Amino acid sequence: MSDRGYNTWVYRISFVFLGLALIVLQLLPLQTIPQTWAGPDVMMCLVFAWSVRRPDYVPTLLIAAVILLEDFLIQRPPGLHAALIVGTSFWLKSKANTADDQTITGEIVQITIAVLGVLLATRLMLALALLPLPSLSVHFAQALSTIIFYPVMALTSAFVLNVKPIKQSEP
Amino acid sequence: MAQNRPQTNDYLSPLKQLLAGVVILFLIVIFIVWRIDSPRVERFRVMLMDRFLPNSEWAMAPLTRTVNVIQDFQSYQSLYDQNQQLRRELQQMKSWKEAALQLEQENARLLDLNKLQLDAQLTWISGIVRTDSGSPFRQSVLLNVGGQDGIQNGWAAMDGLGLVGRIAGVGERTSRVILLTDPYSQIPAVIQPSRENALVVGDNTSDPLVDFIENADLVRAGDRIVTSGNGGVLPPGLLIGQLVVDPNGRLRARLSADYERLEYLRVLRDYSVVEISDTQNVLMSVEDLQHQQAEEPKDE
Repeated sequence: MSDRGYNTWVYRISFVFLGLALIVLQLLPLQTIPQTWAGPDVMMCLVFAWSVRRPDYVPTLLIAAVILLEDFLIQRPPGLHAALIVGTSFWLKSKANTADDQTITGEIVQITIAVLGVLLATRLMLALALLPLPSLSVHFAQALSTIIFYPVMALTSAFVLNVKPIKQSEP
Repeated sequence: MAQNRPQTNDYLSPLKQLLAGVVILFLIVIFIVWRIDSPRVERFRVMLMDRFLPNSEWAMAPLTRTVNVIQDFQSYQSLYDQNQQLRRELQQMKSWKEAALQLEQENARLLDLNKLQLDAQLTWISGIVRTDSGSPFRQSVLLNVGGQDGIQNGWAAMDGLGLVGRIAGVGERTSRVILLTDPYSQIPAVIQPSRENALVVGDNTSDPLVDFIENADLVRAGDRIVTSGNGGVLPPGLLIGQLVVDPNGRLRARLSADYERLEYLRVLRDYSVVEISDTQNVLMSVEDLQHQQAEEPKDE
């Protein structure tokens, strides 16, 4: 038990460092021309992939802190994206716990719903706050590439970082 | 197993649900506070970046360099074509240089006749681009010069040739430049030679819109767009770009600054910028503007 507890903390700390690394990567001054499409939100993939597999590796407070920092550093309206990610990851965690025999298709359907839900909720909240909306095509391209990129992140998490769900049969 | 199941299942427990609810509420409150009192939260954002950036620079500089080397390597394939093209351009430049030299001599003679003194305040501070905005929806860069180098909000940032953006957000050691392409960027401009006033409005595309032209019949594609200095926003006469017409028939600005390679920027010192710090000043500056506008027709 103590070994497993120790392991959990190692993964929690590595989540924070992975998050910081992703923020730094986004901030590299490589792209100063506006794009007509957008790459995946890798941070979202990471949080969702780990929430589905090992909810105890990504506690709510940790997700909130990392995404809020990201919000501040990459010039997003602070708090909005963080709130939506915390809410969505909580929903994914509860789903992952109820369904013991999670299939990969089921997971991708869930993630698609989650990503599109975040997209819609973001636009809705920005509209409610009377803020200018980001261009729909770029926003949608980002959501789409996030969904496409998700399996890569899920497989990397499972087989490289060894973030796998606890099986019923496991002692 | 008996130990692990409850451990994962307790994400459904009322306590965890309560925690998640409180955290979400807290984050939404941050968002609302930012919406209501944006300057204060933005100052916090600037401060955060000021703390974060120097601590991550050791990782960022080599990574940027590596990716750029890879990108440059790809461009070797077209090296021969580029070389030919550069030779042709160099030939053209030589004739322009000759023309410029002659103009410079003429200008010097005329200045001498006038005993004119150039504005000593028109100097600049050079900064290195450290980060971009990080998000595909905002267009800004962070410079490694800030409050301790005397940078102030509202100053113009240029590359060697054209306007790049204006300073918005000054930290102790960093300052943010909102690029002309950012959806929040609006720069008063004047179109030469017709002297039509316009607004260059960023919309997250590489060529910002040119809007609010009084008489669009007087302008043509290819006209020069320079800052007008209206309302004290940026010094007048800085080159923005050329007017182009997009496929939908709207007027846009093809920017003169090379946005592909924003490495070093010049921040022009400009002590005439109206600093907007509180609401009272905003009202006063609006009054000043009205005075200015009322006086302008008399001058002409």
